[in-house]
Amino acid sequence: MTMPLVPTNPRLPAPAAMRSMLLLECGAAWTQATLLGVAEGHCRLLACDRVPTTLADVGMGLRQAMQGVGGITGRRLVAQQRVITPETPAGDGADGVALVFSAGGPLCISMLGPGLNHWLPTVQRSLAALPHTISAPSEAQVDAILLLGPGPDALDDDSHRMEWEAAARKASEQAHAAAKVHPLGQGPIIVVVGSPTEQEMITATLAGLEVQFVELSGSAPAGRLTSTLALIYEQRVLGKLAESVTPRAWSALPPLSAVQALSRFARFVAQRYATHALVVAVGADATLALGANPQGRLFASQAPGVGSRQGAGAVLRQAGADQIQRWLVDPLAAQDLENAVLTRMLTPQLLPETRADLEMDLALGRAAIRLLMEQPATPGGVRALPRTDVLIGTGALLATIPTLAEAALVLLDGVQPCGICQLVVDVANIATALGAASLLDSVAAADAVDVDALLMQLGTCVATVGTPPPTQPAVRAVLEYADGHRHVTDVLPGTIEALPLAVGQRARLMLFPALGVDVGLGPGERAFAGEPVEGGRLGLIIDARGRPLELPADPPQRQALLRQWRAALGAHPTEGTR
Amino acid sequence: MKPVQQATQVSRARLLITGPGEVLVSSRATVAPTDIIARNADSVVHAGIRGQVEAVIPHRGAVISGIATVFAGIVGFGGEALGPLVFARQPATPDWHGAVLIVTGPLSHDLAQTARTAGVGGIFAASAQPAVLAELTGMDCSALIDGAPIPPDRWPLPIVLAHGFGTWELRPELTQALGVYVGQPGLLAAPTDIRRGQRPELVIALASTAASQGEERQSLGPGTLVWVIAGQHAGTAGRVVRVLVARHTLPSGIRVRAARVHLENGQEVTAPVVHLLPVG
Repeated sequence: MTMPLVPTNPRLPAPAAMRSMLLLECGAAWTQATLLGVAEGHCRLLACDRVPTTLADVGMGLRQAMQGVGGITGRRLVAQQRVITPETPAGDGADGVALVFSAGGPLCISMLGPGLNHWLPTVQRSLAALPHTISAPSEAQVDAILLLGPGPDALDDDSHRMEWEAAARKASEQAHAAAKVHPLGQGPIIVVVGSPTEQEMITATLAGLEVQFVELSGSAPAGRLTSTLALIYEQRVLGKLAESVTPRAWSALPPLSAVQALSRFARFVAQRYATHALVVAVGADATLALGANPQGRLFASQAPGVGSRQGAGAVLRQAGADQIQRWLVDPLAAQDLENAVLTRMLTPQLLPETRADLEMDLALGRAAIRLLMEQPATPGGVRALPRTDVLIGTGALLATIPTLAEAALVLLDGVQPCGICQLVVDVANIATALGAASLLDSVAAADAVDVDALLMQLGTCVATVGTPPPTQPAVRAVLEYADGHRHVTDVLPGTIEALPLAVGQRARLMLFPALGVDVGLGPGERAFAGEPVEGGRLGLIIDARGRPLELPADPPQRQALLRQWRAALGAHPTEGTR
Repeated sequence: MKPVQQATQVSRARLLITGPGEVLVSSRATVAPTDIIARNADSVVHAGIRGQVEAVIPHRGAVISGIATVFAGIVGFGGEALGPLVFARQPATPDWHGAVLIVTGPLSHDLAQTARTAGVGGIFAASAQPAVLAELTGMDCSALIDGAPIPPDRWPLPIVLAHGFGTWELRPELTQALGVYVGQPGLLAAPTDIRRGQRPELVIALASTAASQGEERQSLGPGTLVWVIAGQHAGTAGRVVRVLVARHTLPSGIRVRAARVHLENGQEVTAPVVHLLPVG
């Protein structure tokens, strides 16, 4: 059974060092400025503003967002094209500034060489924090080629030497070919990963190309590769966007990627609340799932280039039209669906005006999360997270959904958690910013997470796995309130229900699953909460739709079921809005 | 970006993309659009712009700056072309050969094939249906937008869509502005990278040495002329009546900053501010 979200150590270890922090997040579609400052003795979210990202000059969007925050707070944040820092006695500027970039797309990497098996774990650890695509979709998009050496001492072996030389020649050809099709003739940087001997051996083969060497023997090899790739990311991806901004002049910290910032947030939540936390972000051009256990170990999966705007095309191609169509209450012709996707790719700042537009966005969000969750399991991937106690949704899509019930359904349909978890939506869309803030002042950031980031707790969700015997309910749920009153509900298989348990209200939960149905303790095992469960904005959700969640093939039947599920949680734009 | 920037100062890197070669200009040299500035065995690079060589990039090309009128596109496919501007009026005429063909309506499959046969250099069209482009290129349009290269033997011409996918006609303001430059050389640059802010354009080099004021972001206010670039009324123009102080709830339930706009068709609508592009 999950516990209410209570910090393990409610008293923070030290007073915050910073009076104010300005967090700038430049996303693929939206740029957000968030100002944190001290209010009533706590570090609080003072204001945030969001404007469309101006990809041709990201500085313009960043300045507009800061002006927006300045307008809300009456605080001057920029003077002479620079952020005012530290905070002045008059209360202008901010003590710390952090920049997060998810605009610019992923770092596209091609990986080759005879040492793949040997180096793979190191390379995977290095890449975990960067938005990257292995095997770039087209030559023109390759930013870096990882040329992997055959591994320690393997050069003594003639066959390895020949393989290595062949790989170097191939990398050279690939780099030249990529430069030919790149719009500006820019070739990728070749990162030679190996021993000094290996590097020396292939220098001549790669003559005339931009090459960086990373020695992967000795201590902390992953760290060296990570910093090299981070530098390439900054140069190749961020550099183009931020020519006029020179982010380093805005912030003393190097810009973070959204993956890095959200990883920090996930680990913080998991450690502070001694829980298994899973943060899912659906962005315009990337979908991320970052899990962490109470010890702070990170489990990260990412789908760069897969999202609700620029990444919509990848969702359509990878998932297929039927995987988007299946979530639409009103059917859409194939041509209209393709048009809707293309429009989103070309107009990232598009806001869903009509109900149909919103439905399309939510369908894309669900399909994007499913693509991520269905990625093959890897040791550090999110599927290795032992369980999910807290499921937090963030990103522009989830933050703008007009009803909390719909946000909950997108999370449940996409992630399909099993057992019992708390559902939280980051309605202010500040999780990424807070992850970056933790680099500036971890205590203040922690304070803000406690007070602001986890504010929108939708409620506890019980998701069942397995099928009950025919005609039986999947689970009987009993809520025993503090006054002794009991609410008993039999939840039928294939349905979802919200039981009454308001914000701040607590009740003891007892679950009696049918034979073959698992609520997290094993098939048919009853669950009795040791501690009362906490209410939420949606009450207590019993999701007995089963896992994996299957939808009828017949469109009218499927659409009726989707309507039924939405009605069960009150997901109508006119009801339960924020 | 404004759909058309008249007589503006531009600076463009003009580089060989087929490998290293010989650069034929020196720093600060004056160049005309059709001057060859770099070449190798596979290709040549024209200046594209009338102006001055700002910097030479050894073995690759040069950065040229000058005054030009720039027509922005939403999406483009293929490489680039330099040729005189010609309006597409059927049947094809000899002056289509090597030209940048202006198509004021949606590009049809037949017109595209006629253009190819006539030796057109590139096409600047108002719009095109995804199915037409898919048929021409043999590729999925979302993959094309994501940068998948078109096999040149399948479809060799660069195509730029001014208003994107659909059946839009070219806005009358654009048609009129383009009409001024018929017969003049235009540089059609189709490469598009939606993730890194690169959109296609048609650059018309000007002889003038005086640039108009650079592009400044206009704020929305009563009377601002706007194009609606997304949503239900996309493709129409109008004037802002007023910007709403309170956030407006759209039929989808989303609350946004919005403005009342009097559209050219006589309707008065409420549209999200981010769907409005100030054009004058």
